[in-house]
Amino acid sequence: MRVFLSVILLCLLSETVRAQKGQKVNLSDLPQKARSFIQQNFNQEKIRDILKETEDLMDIEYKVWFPDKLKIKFDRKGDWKEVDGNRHPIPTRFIPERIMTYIRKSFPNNEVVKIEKDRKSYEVEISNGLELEFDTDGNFIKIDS
Amino acid sequence: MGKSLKNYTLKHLVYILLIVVGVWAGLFYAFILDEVYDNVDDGLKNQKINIIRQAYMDSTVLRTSEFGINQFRILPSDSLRKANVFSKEMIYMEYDDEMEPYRVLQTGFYAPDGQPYSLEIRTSTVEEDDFLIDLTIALIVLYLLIVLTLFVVNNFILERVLKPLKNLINELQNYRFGSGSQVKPVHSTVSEFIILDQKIQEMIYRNENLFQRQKQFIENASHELQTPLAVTISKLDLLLENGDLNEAQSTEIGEAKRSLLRMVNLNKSLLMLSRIENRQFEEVETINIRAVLDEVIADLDEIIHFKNLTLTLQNRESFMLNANRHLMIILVSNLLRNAIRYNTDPGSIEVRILRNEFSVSNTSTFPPLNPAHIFDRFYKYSADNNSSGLGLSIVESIIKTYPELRLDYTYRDGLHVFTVSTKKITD
Repeated sequence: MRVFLSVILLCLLSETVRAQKGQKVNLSDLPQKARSFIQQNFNQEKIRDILKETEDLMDIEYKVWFPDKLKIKFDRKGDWKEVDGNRHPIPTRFIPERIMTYIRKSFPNNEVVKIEKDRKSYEVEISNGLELEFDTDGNFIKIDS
Repeated sequence: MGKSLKNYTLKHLVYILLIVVGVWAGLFYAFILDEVYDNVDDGLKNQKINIIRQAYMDSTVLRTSEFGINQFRILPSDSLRKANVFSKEMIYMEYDDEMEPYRVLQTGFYAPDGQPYSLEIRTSTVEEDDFLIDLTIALIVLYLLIVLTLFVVNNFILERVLKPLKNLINELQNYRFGSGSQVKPVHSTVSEFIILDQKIQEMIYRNENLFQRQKQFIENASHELQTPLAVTISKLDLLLENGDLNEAQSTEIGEAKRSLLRMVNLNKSLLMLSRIENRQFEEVETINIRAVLDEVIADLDEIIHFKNLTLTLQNRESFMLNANRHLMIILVSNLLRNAIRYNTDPGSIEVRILRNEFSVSNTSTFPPLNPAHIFDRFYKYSADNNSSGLGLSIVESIIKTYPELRLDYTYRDGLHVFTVSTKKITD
């Protein structure tokens, strides 16, 4: 009896842990915006995993995993928040042209390996490990910090 | 003696300023150093970007494993140190053959082939201890200058502001109550000083006035007492002369008359005292004390012999002074009478005249007297019915009339010595 109870308890516990880490969903569960973003820039056949995570109680975040640990984060509306190539070059078609012009001019032979977006700025990491910051219009602000 | 008003504020200011300057120095030092490091660090970060960019264009840069003229080195590393870590190191500098402080940036980057490398960049930075010494010296100079300026300005301004107060204090120091001297009004625009001056003037006027009235009253009272006393004595004389009294009655009336005569003497003394204090002896002439003494001694010669006393007069130099002749006679006579009255039997009196003083010393049965009270009115060492208790008070009043004179009492070798002298200039 005691063993049985503890097994149930354990199951319940692992269930909550899993819920906290995120819950597996299908491509169709993603917001429309996110699906078209993936369609336009990535090969959606290669998607490994899609997780739906609840952050700070209310805010929902989607994480889409590709091979080589390439990861895309979307907010609840389906706008991308982060594309992390895990030190491998990522597609750049969705990145504002001004940012790409700056990088090609100032850091030749470098590729974008990661890009993050928030309300005020873009943060771009390039091959050599430097992080560059741009405003929402794509104007350069600073390096590193 | 307390601190002067001027230095009082200054003393506090000096301490407070020291604290203020000290706190300010600490802040300044921290801010400046922070700014310097911020600047140096920005320079290093910028250099990092340039080096990484250069490494992508020229792969030989990656083989810079020693600090060369560019002051950086690149070493292959197992993992990437992405953050910028700043530190301070002491590094030998050939220029002045010394260890000098360097600011070092340790960071890392990925080479074009994707391999992580560590990057160290260094640059000479400010010598904190030299900076601290320079700053301290500059601040000490600043502090001393501020204190000096404060001192000068404080002295100058307060000197001007407090001048009326100083004048007032001087006036009060020179003022002697009942001597007819006046406190000059102080002119000031400061309301506190005006009020102070006004109140002091009022107070002095009130007191002087009261004192004047009191003196006048004593004089009037003594004066008015003279007539009834004289009448009473003459009536008693008449009673005695008529002769229809028996012996016991005659003796009683004789005693009454003696007491009344004492009262007349007392009254005369009081009247004299009032007159002296009311300045009714104004005429002044040059007096030779020797002449006055001779006159008084001639008058008292009989009593001296009668009391079995020997009087010696030592006259080495002459003592001349400007005074009222009548007052001087009273002065000398009172001193001599005092010496005669309280003498031993037999006894001696010694009068000595020097250049600016004369003294009367006498043997006596009395122990040394208390100098604080001997000139008080009605102060008597013993209950002697024949003394008025006013003799020495009169002497003192006369001395007070002439500011240049002083009277001292000493007890030396069993002798009571009263000395009248002109004040020395150094007093």
